This record gives sequence, C-alpha cells and structure tokens, in this order.
Amino acid sequence: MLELLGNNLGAVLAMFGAALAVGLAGTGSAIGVGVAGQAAAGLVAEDPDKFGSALVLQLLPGTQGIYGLLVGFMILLNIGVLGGEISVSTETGFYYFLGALPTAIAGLTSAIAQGKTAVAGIGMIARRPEEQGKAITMAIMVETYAVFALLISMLIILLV
Amino acid sequence: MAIIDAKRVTVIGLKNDKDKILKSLQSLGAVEISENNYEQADKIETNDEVIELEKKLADVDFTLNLIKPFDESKKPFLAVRPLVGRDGLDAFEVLQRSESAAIDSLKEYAEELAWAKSNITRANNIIMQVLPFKSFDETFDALGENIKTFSTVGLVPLESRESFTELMDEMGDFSYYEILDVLKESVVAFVVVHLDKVAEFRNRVKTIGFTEAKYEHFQESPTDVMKKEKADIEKFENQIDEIHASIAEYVPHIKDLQSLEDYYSSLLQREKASMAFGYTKNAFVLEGWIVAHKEKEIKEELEKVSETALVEFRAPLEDEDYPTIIENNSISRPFEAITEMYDTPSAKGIDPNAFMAPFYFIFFGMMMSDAGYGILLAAIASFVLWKTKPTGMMGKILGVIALCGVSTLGWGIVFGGWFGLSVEPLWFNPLQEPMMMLGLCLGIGVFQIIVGLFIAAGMNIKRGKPWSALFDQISWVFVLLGLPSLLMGGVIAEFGKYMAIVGVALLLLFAGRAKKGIVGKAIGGLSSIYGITGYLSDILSYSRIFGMGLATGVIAMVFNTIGGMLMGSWIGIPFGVAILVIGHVFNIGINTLGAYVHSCRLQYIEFYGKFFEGSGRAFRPLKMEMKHYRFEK
Repeated sequence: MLELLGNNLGAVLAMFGAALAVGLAGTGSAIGVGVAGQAAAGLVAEDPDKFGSALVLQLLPGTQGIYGLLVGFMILLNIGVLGGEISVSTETGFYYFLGALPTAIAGLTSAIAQGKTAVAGIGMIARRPEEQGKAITMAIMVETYAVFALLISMLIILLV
Repeated sequence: MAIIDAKRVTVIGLKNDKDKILKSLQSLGAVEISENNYEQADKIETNDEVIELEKKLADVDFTLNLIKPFDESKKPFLAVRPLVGRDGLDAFEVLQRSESAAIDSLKEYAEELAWAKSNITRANNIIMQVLPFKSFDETFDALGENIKTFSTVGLVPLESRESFTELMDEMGDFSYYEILDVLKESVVAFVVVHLDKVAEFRNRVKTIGFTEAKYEHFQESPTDVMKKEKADIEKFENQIDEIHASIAEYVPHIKDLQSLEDYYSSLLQREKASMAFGYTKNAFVLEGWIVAHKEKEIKEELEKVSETALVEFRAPLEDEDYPTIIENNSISRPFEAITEMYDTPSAKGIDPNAFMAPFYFIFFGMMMSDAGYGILLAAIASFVLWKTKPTGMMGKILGVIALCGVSTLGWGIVFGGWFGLSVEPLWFNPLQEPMMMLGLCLGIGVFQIIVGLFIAAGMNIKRGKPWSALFDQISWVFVLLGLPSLLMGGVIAEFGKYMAIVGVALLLLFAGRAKKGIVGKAIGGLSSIYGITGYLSDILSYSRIFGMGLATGVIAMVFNTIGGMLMGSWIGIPFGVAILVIGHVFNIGINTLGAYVHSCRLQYIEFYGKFFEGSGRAFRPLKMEMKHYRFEK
C-alpha cells in the first residue's frame, strides 16, 4: 500500500480528485433531481399535461453531475488511464487533485440548492403554467456557480 | 421590427348583423375587443348563451375523452392538423343535431359506468370488512342479544392478547370466549357474556383496543357474505365490459365530435367577446384595439359584410393603456418566444427581439459548438416544423432551434468539433487554447452589454433626456471599453487609460445629480462607482458560454472513448455502436436544454437588465383558436 503510494503518488492524488469530482457532484445532482422529481410527480398526478414543463425543471439540477463527470474524465484522460501508460508526477497529480475540488464542492452544494429552487418552480407552474420561463430562470441563477466551478476546474486541468 | 402602433376602433352596427361582423373580425384575427362598462340600454342575453355553450363544449370534450381510449387506429407520429376555412367551419353546424344522439347515449353510458364502478367499490369494502372473520362459521344474525346472553366477534390487537384473556377470566362465570383465528396484527375472538354484563364487558375491553365487528347489516355467515359480494363484483365487471364495448362502437364519431368541439369553441370565443359590447334595442357598439396598419383591411372587410355598420378609428390617448403589438421579420420572429417567456415589453418601451436575436443565435451556437450536432438539430427541427406546422409558442421555439442549429454548425466548424472528434479547426480549439476561448466569451459579453447600454441611451435621447444618456450609460461605455484596453499595452492602453478616466470622472461628478445638496451629490457619485462590481459579475457571467461548450465537447469525447474501447473487439462492436448512438442523442438532448436556458439567462439578466421596460400587456386579438384544425382565411 505504502509502496503504491510512494511510487505513484501523483496518479493516486489525481484519481482521488477525479473520484471526488464525480462522486460529490453526482451526489448533489442525485439529491437535487430526486427532490425535484418528487415535486414533479405530484404536479403530473394533478395535471398530466404539465409533464414536459415539470421534466425540464427536474432535469436542471442534473447538470452538476455531468460537470463532475467531465472533470473526472479530463483528469483520467490527462494521466493516461484511458489508454497508454499511467504517468504523472507527484506535483502534477496534486494540481489535478486541486483542480477537481471546485467542481466537487460547488457541484455538491449547488445541485442540492438548485433542486430546492426547482421544487419551488414546479409549485409555481402548478398554479401559473404561463410563468414557466421565470421558474427556469430562477433555477438557472443557481447553476451559475456550478458553471464557474467547472470553468476553473477545467482551466487548472488544461493549463498545468 | 419593433413595437407597432395600436389604434382604437369603434364599431356600431345593427344587432341583426352582429354575428356576421363578429365572425369577420374573428377570421381576420386583428382586433382585440376591450371590456367596457356601458350602461346597457337593452338587456344582454349573451351571458346565458355563454353558460349554455360552455356546457355543450364540456359535454363534447367529455364524450371525446370517453371514446378516445378505445380508438385503436394508428396515429402518425407527427400529425399536422387539417386546414379548415370559414365555410368549412360553418358547415360543422349540422353536427350539432346529428351528434346530439351520440353525445346523449355516451353520457348515459358514462353514468352507468360510474354506477357499476361504485357498486364494485362498495362490494370490495364489504369483503374487506368481513374478511377477518372468515373463520367464524356461524351466521351473523346469530350474534347479538339472546334471551340471557350476548355474543359477538371482534379483533384484539396481537400485543393485547394476554390482557384480553386475563380480562375475560376476570369476567367470571357466565362468560365464554374463544380465539378463532390469528391474523397478522390481531386475533379474532368470539365472546359470549351474560346480558347483565354487556356494559361492563364493553367498558373493560375498550381499554385494550378490542374492536367489535359491525354485523348489523348481515344475516349470512362471513363466507356466504363474501361469496355473494364476489358474485356481485363479477356481475358488474361484466356489465362494465358490455358498456365499454358499446362505447367502442362510437369510435367512428371521433372526427365529427372533434369538428363539433372546434365549432363550439370558436362560437364560444365570439359569444364571450360580445359580452363586452354595449346594446340598445336594435344596435350594438364594440370597442377595441387594432394593429394600426390593418385599419384599411378591417374597414373594407366590415363594409363587405354589413352595409349599415359604422367603423371609426383613432390614435390612443395620452393616458390610455393599450396593448403591446410586436411585429418582426421572419428571421427574428421565432426569437419572440424567448422574450415572451420573460415579460411583455411595455407599449411605450422598445421591442428587444431584433437586438437580442443575433446574440442568442451566437451564444447558442458557441455553447453547442459541434458541427455534427448542429446539422442534426437544424434538420430535425426543420423537419418537425415542416411536417406539423405548429402555431404559437411551439412553432417559435422550433424555429429558434432550427436557426440555432445552423449557428451550432458554424461554430462547430470554427472550433473543429464534429461529434466530439477533434477535426482541424477553422480558428482554434478551445480545449487547447482555453484562455483564448475565455477571452472571446468575455469580449462578446462586453460587446453585448455595451449594445444594451447604447439602446438605453438611445431611449433616453428619444425621450428628451440626453444628459441621462451621457451620465448613466455613455459614461459606463467609456469605463467598459477603457479598462480592458489597459491590458492591451501600447497606444491602445494609453488611449484606454484616458477613456476610463473620462468615464469614471463623469460618474463621480454627475451620477449623483438627482440627489439633494452637495454632500448627497458627492456620495451619489462615489456610490455609482461601486456599480463596477455589478458590471464585473455581468461580464464574468458570459464565461458560462465556455463552460457549456466544454460540457458538450467533453461529454461527446467521453462517449467516443467508451464506444471506441468497446469496438476494439468484434464482440463489442454492436455495444460500441449502441453506446455511441445513445450517448450522442443524450448529449444533444441535455446540451440543447442547457444551451437554450443559459442563452436565455444571458439575455434576461445581463442584456435586458440594461434597458428592458416590461409589464406590458400582450395583444390578444379575437381569432380562430382551435384544437383539431388550423384556420385558413
């Protein structure tokens, strides 16, 4: 175990980062999409015609999980897990680990918060279906911070 | 290309001509009828007619929903609603009579269905009630009070079983009990007590949660009761099948009923509109708003249907609240949907669609930025548009997607993305030169914000407030252009320095001009500089374009890599192909949604925030709105 860490510390750190990005952002999205799905199911039970609008709102908190996947994938690609030999210096591996953090942290929290906003938005289109655009805009305001986190994660991974 | 002038129209006509005039206006679809509080010289009867029509419409809708589940004919996936003209719609009138028998019998069937279903529910409830006592093999009417004893059956919760036996033992002589059955959560007990002790028994068992069976309505044994009810259920289920078969025979009526539904709903729209009219004994008056340039068309049409009708037009008064009428050319018309989702522009403001459309087009394309996806999006959206010819919101959104597919194709070529494969880009690859891409996104953002400021400045100048334009908007344009130029170096930086200084000076000196006193003005000027943080976050917000672009490109790469790995061996080829197809479809779906909503957000918050004046009232003319047909003039 120690030997593995000693010889491949860079790769271990990088993969740890990839695991955090995919795992934490995915957890956030699962929670967000889950709560929004419950609200959507309630709305569709009352009015099946609103399935489309409810589904869009339910999907919105799902993107953080995808951002996590992107970051994880880029790290794996750069350290050579996906074909070729795994080779990464300890320093670079540590940078990749740091690069994964913004998406992991902001992905987890923003997806949950966005899920709550989506629930409120679904409640809103239950009463005022014509205000769907506003409900989506409100949920998208939360997403901004996940996009920023993704951007910084990707800049670190692409530029180091 | 903008907000079109509205005009007030007044029509006075004879009551005899009312239907003809209304029908013409509805076919034209160019007049919004206003509510008026006339002092009615004559009683209006339309109220009752509206209620009557609403009832008829509800009946047709109800019967249609009743038959629909039995319609087994195959419907095409993308169906276009057939066209119908004015004469065709009038011809549907005969259906009122010919379909009335069908509607009546279908309503009767529905009642029979409801009755049969309620009977099944009732029988099921009885079975549920009796089921726990199935081990009691005497008849129910043997229970209750006899000459000297009282007997009953009931349920004792499992956990109280011991307290129950203790309690019954304490009841002493002349009492008897027997545990008949043990169920999941309770035991079934048969109890006999002396008549004198019934009250005592009931009081004591209450404390341990004993529930007596309610057998007053039953004579037979529990098994027989259940048998009887099950037979009942079967009888009613057969009856339901028969009713269903009878309903299914009405499937051929669907088309006529749909026609009738549209006939009624267009009639109802007219009747509702005529509730806003003023009436005398022989004449009526209506008032409303029209699109200014359709004045002649409306006048000619009305003169054609009625010789006596008097039509007058005038411009809106100063303080009158008139609707916002928006007209755009065919390229930017679909983008009206984006603004509609946000707010209706004020009638005295500006229509942002023509300014917003090019930015939306560019942003969407940059976010998707894959030539392959662009071709698919444009092709699919155009095909659906051509096939179903949708109207309203749906048509506009499909139009936006078709156009933005073209933009996606263009940016895909510029950035070298084809289904996630890196092809030699026309300009540069954002993954290899991320700083360049970030700069491009923020640069476009600064440009859009400046355009927004210029629009606001233009509106201020038009309203005779040139100083507001200079101090509130142009000053910021100087700052926004000057500060980034500092990064360029050389002459540009020197020039930028002075621009930024001029901008900041304008803000410091004049932004607080509305405040009272010299101190107030100074504080107002200083605090306006703080607005720079707002602009900074606005500009940074445009980096989402890069973020969304990354998402599309890298997800496509993920699926290509997985698919490629599977295709390494011949067994994996079908799975690899499946992954590629499903993966790319998923990616297009999720990123179209993402690009759509994020492009919207950039317009709503960053762009419209600078100049948009909302809370207008959308123009809603009286027109032919139908569910099953498209109206053709």
